[in-house]
Amino acid sequence: MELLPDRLAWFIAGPIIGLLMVALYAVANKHLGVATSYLQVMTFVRSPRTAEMWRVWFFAGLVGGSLIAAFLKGSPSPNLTYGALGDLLPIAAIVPVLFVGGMLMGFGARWGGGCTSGHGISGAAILSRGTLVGTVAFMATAFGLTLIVHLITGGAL
Amino acid sequence: MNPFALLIGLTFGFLIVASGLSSYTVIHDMLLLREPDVFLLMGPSFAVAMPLLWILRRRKWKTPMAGELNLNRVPNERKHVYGGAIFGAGWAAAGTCPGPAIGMAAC
Repeated sequence: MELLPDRLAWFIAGPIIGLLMVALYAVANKHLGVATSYLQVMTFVRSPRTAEMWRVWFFAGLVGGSLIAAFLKGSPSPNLTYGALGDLLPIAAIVPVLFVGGMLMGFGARWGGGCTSGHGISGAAILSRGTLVGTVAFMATAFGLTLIVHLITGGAL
Repeated sequence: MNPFALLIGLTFGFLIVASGLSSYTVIHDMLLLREPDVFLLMGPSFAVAMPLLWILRRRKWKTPMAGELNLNRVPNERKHVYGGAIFGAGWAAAGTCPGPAIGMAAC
């Protein structure tokens, strides 16, 4: 099926994401952050009683929503492509890159108190000082590293 | 069961995948400043959220589930710089972040 365009326009997705932030604050007094829900899912797996259950449900929603969108987009059945990185490296080399990337993100998000959604989107919208500093830090590193890799690989990445 | 959290998650997950944020190419191109859509997407989401949250806070909004609205701004600390920098390295390496990674796994 291809009921969704390849990419939903930014002027549709953007305002709705803004409303999600407002709704979550207005109803539950919580900020929209994904990294924390990973943590709560793990907490739930280890000892269900101590987990913040709403974040576990939020995570379940993320999985469900992603699946629905992927289905409506008619995305090719399970694929192992990975953009330019996939063109440059064999799967056996991508797996460790992604593993390290995931470790860095998990560690960094816990240390820094948030990820791209918690800091970059919902923290920035309330002008939280720590959040703005964190956002500048991850933006600067990500832009800088990407540029360095781009130059080193002669534009391949 | 928390239907509200589930609904917020469903919508957010849907939008992440539908708007292409779960694509390595989109994120990588954004980090190379070759792709304006991700920045454009953030504009209206702030434009909608900031004034509404500001009004709710001024009116001392009572949330139905958790008392008076508390936007919980955090002060600037060193951990935000260090943690953020490490997170950014992972983001650049993988071309994805925690939310879109779920979308990638789902596709």
